[in-house]
Amino acid sequence: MGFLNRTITKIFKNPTLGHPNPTRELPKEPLKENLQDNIEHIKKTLGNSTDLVVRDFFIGSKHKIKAAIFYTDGLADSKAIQDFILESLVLEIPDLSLVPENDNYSLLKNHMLTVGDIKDATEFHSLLTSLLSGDVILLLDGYAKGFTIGMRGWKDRGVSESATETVIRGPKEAFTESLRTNTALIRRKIKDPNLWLETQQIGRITQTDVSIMYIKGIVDDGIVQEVHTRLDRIDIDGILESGYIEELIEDETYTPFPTIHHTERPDVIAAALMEGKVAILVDGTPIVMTVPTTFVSFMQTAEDYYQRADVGTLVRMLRYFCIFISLLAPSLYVAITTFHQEMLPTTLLISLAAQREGVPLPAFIEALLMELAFEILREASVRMPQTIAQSVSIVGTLVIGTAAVDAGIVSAAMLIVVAVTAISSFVLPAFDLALTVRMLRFPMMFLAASFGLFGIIIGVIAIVLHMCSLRSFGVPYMSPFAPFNLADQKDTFFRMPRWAMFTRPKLINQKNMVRVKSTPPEKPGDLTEE
Amino acid sequence: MKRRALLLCVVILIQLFVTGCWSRRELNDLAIAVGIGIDKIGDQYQVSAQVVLPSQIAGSKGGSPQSPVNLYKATGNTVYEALRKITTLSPRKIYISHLRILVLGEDLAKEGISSVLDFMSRDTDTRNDYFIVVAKDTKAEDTLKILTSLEKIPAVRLFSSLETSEKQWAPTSTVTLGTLITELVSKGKNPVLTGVVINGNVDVGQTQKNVETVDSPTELKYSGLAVFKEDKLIGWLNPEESKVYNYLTNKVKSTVFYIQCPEGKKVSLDVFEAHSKIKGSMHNDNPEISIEQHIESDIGEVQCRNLDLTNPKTITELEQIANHKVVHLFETTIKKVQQEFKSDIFGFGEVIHRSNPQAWKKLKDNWDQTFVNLPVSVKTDIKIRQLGKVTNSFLEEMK
Amino acid sequence: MLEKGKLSTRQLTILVMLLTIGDSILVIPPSTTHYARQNAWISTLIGMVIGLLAIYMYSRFIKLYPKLTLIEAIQKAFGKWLGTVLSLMTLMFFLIVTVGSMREVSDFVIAEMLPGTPIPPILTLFILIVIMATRLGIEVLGRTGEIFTPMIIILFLILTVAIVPQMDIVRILPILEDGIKPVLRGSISITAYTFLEPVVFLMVLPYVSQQQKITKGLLLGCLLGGTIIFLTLTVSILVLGPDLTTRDIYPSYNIARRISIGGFFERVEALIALQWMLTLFIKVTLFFYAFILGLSQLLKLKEYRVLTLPTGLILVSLAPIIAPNFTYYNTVFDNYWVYYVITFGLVLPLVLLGVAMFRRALSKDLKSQN
Repeated sequence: MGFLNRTITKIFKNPTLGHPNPTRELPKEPLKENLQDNIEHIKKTLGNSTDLVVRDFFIGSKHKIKAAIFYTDGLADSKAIQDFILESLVLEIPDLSLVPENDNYSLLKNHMLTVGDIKDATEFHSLLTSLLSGDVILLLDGYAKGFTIGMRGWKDRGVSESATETVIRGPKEAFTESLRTNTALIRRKIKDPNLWLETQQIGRITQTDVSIMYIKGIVDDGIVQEVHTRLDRIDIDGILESGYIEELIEDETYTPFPTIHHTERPDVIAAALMEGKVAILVDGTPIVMTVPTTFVSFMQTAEDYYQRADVGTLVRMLRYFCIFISLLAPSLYVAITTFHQEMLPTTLLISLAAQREGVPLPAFIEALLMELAFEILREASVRMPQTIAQSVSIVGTLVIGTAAVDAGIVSAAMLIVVAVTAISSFVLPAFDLALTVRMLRFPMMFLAASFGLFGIIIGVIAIVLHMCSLRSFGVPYMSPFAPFNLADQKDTFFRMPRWAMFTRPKLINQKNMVRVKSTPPEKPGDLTEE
Repeated sequence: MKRRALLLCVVILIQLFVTGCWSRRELNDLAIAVGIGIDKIGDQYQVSAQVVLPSQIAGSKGGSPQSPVNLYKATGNTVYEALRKITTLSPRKIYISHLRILVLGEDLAKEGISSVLDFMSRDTDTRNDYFIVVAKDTKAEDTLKILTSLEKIPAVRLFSSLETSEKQWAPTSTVTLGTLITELVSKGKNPVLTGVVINGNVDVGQTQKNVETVDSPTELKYSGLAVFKEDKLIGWLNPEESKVYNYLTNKVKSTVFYIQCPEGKKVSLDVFEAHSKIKGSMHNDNPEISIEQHIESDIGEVQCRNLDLTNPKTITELEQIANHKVVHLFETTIKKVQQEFKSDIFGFGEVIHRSNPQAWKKLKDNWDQTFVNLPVSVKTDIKIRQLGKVTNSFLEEMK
Repeated sequence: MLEKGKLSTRQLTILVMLLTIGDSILVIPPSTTHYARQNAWISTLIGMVIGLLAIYMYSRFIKLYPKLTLIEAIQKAFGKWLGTVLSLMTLMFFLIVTVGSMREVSDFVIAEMLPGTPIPPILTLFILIVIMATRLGIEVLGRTGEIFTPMIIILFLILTVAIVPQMDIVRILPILEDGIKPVLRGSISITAYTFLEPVVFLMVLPYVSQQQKITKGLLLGCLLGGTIIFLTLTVSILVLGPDLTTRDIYPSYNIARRISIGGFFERVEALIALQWMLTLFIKVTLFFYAFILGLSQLLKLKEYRVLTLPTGLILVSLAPIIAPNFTYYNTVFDNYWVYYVITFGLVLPLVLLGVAMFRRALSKDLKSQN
């Protein structure tokens, strides 16, 4: 017993934390006045990295003001640097009458530098961070401060179509890996001055830029505060993807259900912002998160809102139906054929019995094997190059499946059940949720195999209990189903026509409820006149 | 401490699943019984089960053609015992959730059917959707041996034809277990069951030859209703009398009967709606029953030559003839049942129970005797509505 | 506060409704029809009226013992020694109802769904979700109820409508054949099992967020639950007749077995089983929760969750023991249960209210004297 105890303790024990302070409290090291000292310090800190470019020069042709610029080749826009900084500083002749004697610093800043984004830099840490983010550092000899000039320009993927979230009707733009491009895409959708953007760096080593955006006045300030608190709490060496942040700020980790929604599409984010949610963007990934999130958001797609209301409603209902099938179909098959044969009509029973005559395995093992086979095929098709993926899916499903049935290893009915389950799970719009359902399917099958329908009912109750106990940033996960809100039902199973959707979801924001006051369309009178 | 509790939970959970699933029944562990027959042999009950062979019905695999069903039988002191004994013959346990027909042997029925019914109502696998019939002039097990064409599973054929004939021709009656038990218990109504006979030779009937020829040598057929007093079979009704029973108990959905036109030939009436109102009343401590039968019908077939169907008077005449005939039929049948069988199968007692509950309290213990002399007045109201596709018959024009 | 969750009024109504349906939907038809025969529907109506009055009495509780659960109220009213004794007895009541209901769950599952399975595994599985629900708190239970309710109601309506073709109005005649006495005897049964059980909500009332709407919520829940019970019973008589209803152990299940629409909507009795499992689950969880919470309050614990697992295990072992066979359970149920429930469901609250009113009158007197 003691051995087991010790093993478990070892697995779950937290190692002592190294550095207790989050990144933004590192000691500030101020610049020196001597330019040469500063240059040496920077070079030494960066280990003489070969992509660091240092250019020292004299400002103006007459005056001997020594200066130096630093930038990272590949991250900064070299051409712009040459045009706007070097040219204006090296060639231009400053008019000294404009400033008091010897204040070269403000001379440069106010009269000479023909660039837009300029900030003061006084200490090394933030200076180096900016340098490595692609900014240009301009230092003057004799001054313990310098300029950080924004002149970033690197190659990125460019705005293209989303691979995973496609619509037939609707914008096809998707986010890219560049934070600034992403925020710009959002700004293009929402031009309201109340759309505020706050940025911070997270990750001790990666210093990743993480921004949050929200519409002031619609969003609940408590949620914004909570987002800040949770982001500040993060102490990790690197953030490579928004998924890292998701895991570190979500309410519950021990749940298979996702509590934070993410998307690649700017229009989805814009809609979420208008509902009073907060968007979290992470530099380096096109996946943007929104909080708080309820279960219903995972069952909605952008296209629901662009198509007509009746079509949207029917498709939504289909999705809810499919989530049931996807979760319960194999379990129900196993339970009914093993324990509750009286539920089948006689002819179906005889047909199924005939199919199972030659099959060696009990129904449960059959189901388990088929599901596993499907999972393997699914994972395999994700890794494979596109061209082979097509043929393997056909080979896998048709040929292997049919062959297995003919060989008598599985029964045809089981194959149909598994295929229907798989296809239903593809109907779910959120990949996260489909994964959850895939995971939960297996315990349900175990329960069904041991306790039949009773087991399934117990499993369903347990899942619902669990879902009801989840919260996402304080909002109950299952709203608007529970706590029930009649007004919000217009966007769950149904998609009410546009003119009817005039309030925002209640539990997310209480303040700014009314979206738009529009009336149902009136039929025009007879337009043609005799 | 928390770890230990967690471990304990996990151990308990595993135990749940690992020790085995107790009530598991794989599909190929079942012998699906679609028909059960119970006969009495001396002191013992003989239970025969008609079991489906799924691969013969629905299988894609070929193999040599076998009979689609198998019959297993065993004898025991009780029905339950006999049913379990069948496992010495059958490779699987008999599964009766999909039962379609229960055949009771005539000998058993004469002795009393209640003893076998309790098992059927108590067992958890049984449902209420199968019919119960009595084998006439034959043993129950023989009725389950006959192969039928058109419907591969004979028990299903028995089920469907009972249902269809009740709906279309009405001399048969579908009786489920619930109804049977309720009627057995009730003092105001006695049960009936339909009888099934075998036309032909049983030995030929159970071979493939029976379904290979155009005209099957051996067939299963339904005859009239069996009359019970308490739970014992006491007699049979012929098809005409059985129809009266179905009229009175509102089970007729559609049937055909003929009347004679003035010149002596026959006209068939196609009944599409029949409804009977039975009223009970007490006159000076004596119960009385009055029956009002409404029938809606169409002209189905005309054999008379001089019948002018376009004249409303003719229709009225025909209606009157029909009324006479039906009233006569009802009265004769009811009298026969009263005097020959002395068993209230029509439920007149229940009618009195509902209309005069206080009087019923005194009458119910001796109802079968009171029933014998119960005055019953019959009134019919037959309406002829449509004529079909043509008006007057072409026979009229034929010279 | 041991419990940090909050219940909304709607959730309260739903929980009351589901509790009222509870196991009554399973066991009421046979026992009530046993006495009242085809007039059992009248018994149900009488029982409902009494139930509404009882609920009204319960709702007075919040005025006289604000923010206190039943156990706390007992201690306040009766002092330390008597209060502890009465509290223990009340807790025993909750415990026995829990065990009884669990026994009914396992009986039903073994009889109709999984014949051959022994009791402990079934109950272990069941108690696990009960424990889970209790640990998650009353608010989660309320939300779960909210999610399941539409399904339960729709299922119920579908099943009722589907069986209409098989109803026969004559089965419910003659009315009041044997006078009113058997109907009254039947209504006692129904009042006790069904309509006095909401006394358990006295343990939960302090956690409702809108205290002034409690009365309406409780009454509405009782009304809804009672209507469903009424419909179930009436349907049972209309389809099966009083004789079969009394004889069948689970007549509603039998009825569900008979549904046959268009030749394909058949064999759907599992849907009824699903519905019952849900309402039974709610009932067992509520009483279990009441027991755990009450015990924690009695022992002045900081955290009630520690009690859940041991109690659960004890219950699983108790369930097979409380009655050696079905007949024993039924006899106790029919003859003695009624008085037990009346004591705790009617008498105890009345006494508590009496004490509170007496004290108030007394203090008013004292005040006016000063």
